[in-house]
Amino acid sequence: MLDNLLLGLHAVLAWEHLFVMFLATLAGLVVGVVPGLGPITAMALLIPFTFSMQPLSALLALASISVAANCSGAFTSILLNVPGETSSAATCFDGHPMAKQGRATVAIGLSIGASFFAAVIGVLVVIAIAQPLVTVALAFGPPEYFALAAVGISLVAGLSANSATKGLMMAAFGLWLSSIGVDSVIGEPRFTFGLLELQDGINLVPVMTGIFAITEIMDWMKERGTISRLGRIEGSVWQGIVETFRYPVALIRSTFVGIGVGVVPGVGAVAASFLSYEIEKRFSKDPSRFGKGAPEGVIAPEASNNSAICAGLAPALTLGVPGGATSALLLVALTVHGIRPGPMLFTSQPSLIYGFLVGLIFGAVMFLIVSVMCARALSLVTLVRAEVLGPIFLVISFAGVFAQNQQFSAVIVAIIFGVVGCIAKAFDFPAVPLVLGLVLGRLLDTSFNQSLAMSDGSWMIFLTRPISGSLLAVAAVMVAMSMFARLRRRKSAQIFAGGQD
Amino acid sequence: MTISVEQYRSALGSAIISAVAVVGFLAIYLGAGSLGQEAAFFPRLVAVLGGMSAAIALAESCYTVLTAKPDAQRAGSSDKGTWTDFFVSYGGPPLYGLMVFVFGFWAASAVGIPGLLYLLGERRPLFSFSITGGTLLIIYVVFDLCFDIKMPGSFLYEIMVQR
Repeated sequence: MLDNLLLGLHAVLAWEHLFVMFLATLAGLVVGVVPGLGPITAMALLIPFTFSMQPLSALLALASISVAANCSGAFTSILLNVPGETSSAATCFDGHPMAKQGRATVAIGLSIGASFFAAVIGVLVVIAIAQPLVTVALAFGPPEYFALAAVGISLVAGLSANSATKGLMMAAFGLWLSSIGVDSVIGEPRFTFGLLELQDGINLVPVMTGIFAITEIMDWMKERGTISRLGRIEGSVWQGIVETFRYPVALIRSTFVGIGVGVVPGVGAVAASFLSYEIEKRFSKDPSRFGKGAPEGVIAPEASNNSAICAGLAPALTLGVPGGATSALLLVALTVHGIRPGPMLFTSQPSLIYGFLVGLIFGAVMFLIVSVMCARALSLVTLVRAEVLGPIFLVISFAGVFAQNQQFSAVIVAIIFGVVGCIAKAFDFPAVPLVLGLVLGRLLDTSFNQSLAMSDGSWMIFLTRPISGSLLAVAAVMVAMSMFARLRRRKSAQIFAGGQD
Repeated sequence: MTISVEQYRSALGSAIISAVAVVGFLAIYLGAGSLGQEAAFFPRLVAVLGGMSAAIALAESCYTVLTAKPDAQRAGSSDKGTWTDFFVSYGGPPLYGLMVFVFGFWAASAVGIPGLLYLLGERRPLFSFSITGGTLLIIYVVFDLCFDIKMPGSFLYEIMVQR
């Protein structure tokens, strides 16, 4: 492993590579903080510019923009409660309460620390055990995908603090939204109402922008005041970075949850971040701190979404099977430069591949430096009056949503879900289960139909295969645990009320 | 049992939303009937799950509405803001979206940002125009110049050109 690292280091340490990476990191930082624009858009637009570059420079530019955009997506989640990236939505839960407490820079430090650690560990794991990781990923068939999606859906009960029934209702709404469009197994259009725009289904970005950004903007304009209730910013970004390592268990656990989820193609960083958030909440000695500015609530989603993206590179590079959109675009870039991904890639092009992987670590280091320099300035946004921020971010959010596929229908979807988010917030319907349903719905639907086709309609296929059976057992235990915790809370509330009487 | 006026309103709103959801999930279940058997299975399963949870949520909310008494003295019953604030905050974004569709992104934003700032209480014209200019400049540089993404044009203009 050390030889491979040194080989990669030797390939990367050229001024032209470092310069390209620095520029890409800056661009990624800008793209990441604009709601709606994300690493996928940035990479897709950057690919044509990489045609004339050397293969390694091209890959490093794409990797750096992806790392920076992905990591900086958490900044807006923390500062404004508006996820810059879909994968940083879970960071809002505890990151934004910290910003309200005047600890925005500390929260940004936590996200930088966790992202950096997870990216480095994720890359090292890919370098060290890419082949065994891929063997695990290959053991995943449709029943295992179904079971993994079921584990994700089982989080709904835990993510709906006040009412599990409302949470389930919202999750069902999200699952239904995911079924809109042409069915991926049979090819039949469902609930498209004859609209061409709905054939491809409902895109996650406008829904997320509507539910999180537009809803939040509407609330800012109504509530007024500054985001930081203190009217000042306390702590520093370095304090946050140091604090990250005071929670080693949460950091390591979330990083490996991300690697585990990320290596399975098609599941992605969004599911990984929600999953690790919920796991940390479950394992916490005091789960009531979550949602009120718990540092682990920032560390967990940021560590897992970054390690998931890195781990997604293992199947992409060794098998040519992308783990997500980011690795799919990297595969496009490789192919453009005449490099064929596959098991032989690590032996036929060692300096390119190890250079690229070591470059990802350099990308994380550059992001760390650039973001530490910018964090304080960015945090000042929490001191700007909400009635000024509202119109500015409304216009930027609309532009970001439109930029996704340059269709006005995306803006309409964002507005509709902005209104849905407001109504849900006003009447205590949790919005996160809706997003989770939308993220996991298509995987659940497709893998369910494929599994039944494999087993000639027998549902036992989900229980008789060891991985899917175990994952379904985990899902059942998670639901049972959250129901037990709810009953216990209700009982103690009754005892408390009885004592008061 | 007494609850705050705010909690009572929330329960009433939840009951209405849950009732709408029950009808919605029923419509999804019936609507899936027009699909093939395999394509219909998942939406139907979701409709059953959603319909059942909506029905339970409806029952819970109705129970609260029917058994609890709203008490204006209890904490949490104060209302913040005026009706104008309410309409500007919640009506502003959809109205801006409509303006983008009709007049195009740049014209709608050039009017929308200072308009919203004014309605939200900002009375310094120079400040409002600086904010508008700065925001639009950033959007132009990032989206148009860097990524070559053109913002939506005017629907009204398209109609006029076609005529």
